[in-house]
Amino acid sequence: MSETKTEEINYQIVVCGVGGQGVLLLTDILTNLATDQGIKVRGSETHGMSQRGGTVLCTIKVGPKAYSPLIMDGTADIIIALEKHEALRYSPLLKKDGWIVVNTKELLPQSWKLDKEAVETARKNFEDDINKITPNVCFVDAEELAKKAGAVIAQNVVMLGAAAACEDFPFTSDQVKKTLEKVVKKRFVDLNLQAFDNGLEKGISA
Amino acid sequence: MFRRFASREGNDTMSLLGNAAIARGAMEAGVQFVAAYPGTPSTEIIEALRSVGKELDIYVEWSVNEKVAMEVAASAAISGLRTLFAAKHVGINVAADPMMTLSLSLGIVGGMVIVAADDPSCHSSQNEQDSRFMARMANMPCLEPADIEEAKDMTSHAFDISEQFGVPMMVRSTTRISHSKGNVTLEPILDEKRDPNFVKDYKKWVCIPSNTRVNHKRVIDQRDRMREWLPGSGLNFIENNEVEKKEYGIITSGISYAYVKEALDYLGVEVPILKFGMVWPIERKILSDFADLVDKIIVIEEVEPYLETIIAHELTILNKKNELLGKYRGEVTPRTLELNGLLVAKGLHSYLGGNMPPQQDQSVYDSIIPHIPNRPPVLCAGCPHRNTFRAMRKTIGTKAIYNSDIGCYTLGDPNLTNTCLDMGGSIAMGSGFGKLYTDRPVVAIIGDSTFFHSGITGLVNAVYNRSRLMVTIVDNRITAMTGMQDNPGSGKNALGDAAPIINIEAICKAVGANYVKTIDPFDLPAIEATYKEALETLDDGVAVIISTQACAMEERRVRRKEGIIKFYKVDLELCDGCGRCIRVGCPAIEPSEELNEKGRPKMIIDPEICNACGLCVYECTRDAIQLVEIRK
Repeated sequence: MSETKTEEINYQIVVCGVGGQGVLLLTDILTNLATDQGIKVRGSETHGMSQRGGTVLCTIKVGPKAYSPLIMDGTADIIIALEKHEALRYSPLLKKDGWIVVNTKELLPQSWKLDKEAVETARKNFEDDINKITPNVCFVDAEELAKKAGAVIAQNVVMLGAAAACEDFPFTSDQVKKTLEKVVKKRFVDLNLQAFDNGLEKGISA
Repeated sequence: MFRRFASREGNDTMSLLGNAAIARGAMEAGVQFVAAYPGTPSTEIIEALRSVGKELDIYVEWSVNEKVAMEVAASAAISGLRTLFAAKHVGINVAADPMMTLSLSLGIVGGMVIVAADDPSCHSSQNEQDSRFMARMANMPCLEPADIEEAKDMTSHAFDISEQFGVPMMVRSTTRISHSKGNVTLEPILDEKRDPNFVKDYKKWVCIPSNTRVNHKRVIDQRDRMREWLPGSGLNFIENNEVEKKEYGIITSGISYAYVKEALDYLGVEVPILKFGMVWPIERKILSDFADLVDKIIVIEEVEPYLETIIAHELTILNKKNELLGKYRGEVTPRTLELNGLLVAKGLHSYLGGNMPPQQDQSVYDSIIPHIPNRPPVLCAGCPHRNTFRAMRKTIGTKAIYNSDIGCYTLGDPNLTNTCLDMGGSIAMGSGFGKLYTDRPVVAIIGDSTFFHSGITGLVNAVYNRSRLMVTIVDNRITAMTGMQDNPGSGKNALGDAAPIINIEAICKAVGANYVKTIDPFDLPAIEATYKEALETLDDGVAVIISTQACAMEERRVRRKEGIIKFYKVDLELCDGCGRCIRVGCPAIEPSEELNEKGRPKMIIDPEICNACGLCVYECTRDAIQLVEIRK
């Protein structure tokens, strides 16, 4: 994690997962985080149909070059995937040797529930697949770390913690925590700070 | 966050959704009256305004449909109040009748802004039409913001321009403006409340032919005056006019401007850009200057070649001979779907040269695609209408013709979804099919909000024309698909006050349907018996079954607030892995690691997802599924 911040940073984040996992809240935290530092930020969100158990993609661009909210293929600095298979879906967005921070939690889509072979094949190939994309992968058991913090629902903030441990992540953990305190509902602040720390610790050790 | 958003002083920079930025723009312009029907991607404009409505004394309503909303808004605008209407692109179609005459004849007194939120790529829509053509058709001025900050400022500015020229203004947004998020600088809220002041004027407010003939000419003259006014407005501007190489210049508007900026960055080239903030009427002076500055013009825009078509015409009028490239023939950008920086960079590269943006090896992605699952959206866990669909499938069968409508239930069961055209279309199409086919049941499936929106007229039509039709109203007491907005059936209005509940059953009876019954979809045996009974009556006219049960997600929210958690759990000792429950299609049920003697998995239910509807219990032959209730 870098400790000095300048106006010149240009950093592009992909957040993906499945409807209901808190992708939008994580996007909200990230856009507020940049806003709190006085840096331009533009993000895109998925609403509507895709929230009904569908795949959710949000893109966040930080820095003066954020004209549109969409990230071009091959240019994202980091993918934060709240569901493991979703990391693969959006991998073309990642730049060469960019970071993938992936929750090892698996959410089975309807189409796979009765297709044992498809699931087994995907599971068997998962690590190979993801290592083909980039050598910089951080696997996080966010469900476990969120439970330790006090609630399964905090997986998104655990993942933010792990992402914040990446060397080129443009914000310090103190900056993230200050924003968390403002964005999250008061009674959930402590829980979320703990979730963030759990993720951060995992990210640093990975 | 709310305090900052509602701040009268502004003087703050905060992270906002594009739609909230549009709402803030209206607040800063002193909007007093707001009417709309929800629709992705426009809904949050009204959600933001209704959240501050009471505090800032802004009247906000969810109208029954977009046509009604436009008419309701018109009353305020001709009474001198600053008025906002917002709809998704297809909602503009519904509102088109009053919108056209309001723009082409009546005009307004208080500034009136019509926000059209288009959805290129159909992220949550039935088509990707381009509202700029609607503005052109109505001869209505149209602004197109390129960014959320600009969306706020343009919305605010639009009220002033509208009032200055006495005409409603369109602000055209797209999904990547409305549903983007970023930092926006707030300015003070105009603190000037007006009293409604409707001045009767037969020649102005009554659209009889003799009046409209005169008014139409006035509107056209006024649009010409606007063209003359535009050069000083700052809405349209030219960038990079100092560059040396001027073989090509780019004309663009809206979010496409942002993609152009990114594309040129990646290509590492600079060319002159003419950005239109107002896309109707077109400012001739700046276009003429630009045409003199560059040899060839490339137009970059999303979905329809709107600007390209209009500019071709304007260049002819200006007697300019520049070659025009764009998307009409697909030479620079594709004819369908939304753009992005990469698509624009690829399109421009052939003409402007420069670097190509970095790309990953496609073969890597190709090799992993087979391992990525499809995740089509499905009905939520515990949706009561999964039961309604199950009952229809069992009693009516799949030979019938099922006409669906716009809402969550479009996702219900692909086999019971044979047509889907537009809001309210299910009953009217069913009315037609009922005249064509007498050898099989014809069914219409429509939600409560959609029924109020435009299903009632179709029902009148079906009864009046003696169609043979079975209507199912899947009533969940809320407009769920767009994010839980209240409607005439929910007992609350947009500002959160108690409202009368309009009785759907009474409406259907009053219309004269032959068979009308309200059922509870959680009572599966009763619902099946009701469908069987209704089917017997079809030869005598229209049958309506109203399947009423609150939206599962809304119920869950209420329940959790009260500290109650309810879910079903599978007893793996009793489960024999028959798989009947999982075929219900509920997102909460999945195979466990434990196998039965045939090697098939026993099932488990994810307590985080389960909403305790109990449909799986009906399927289980071994009483293996039990309710768990926790009170905190």
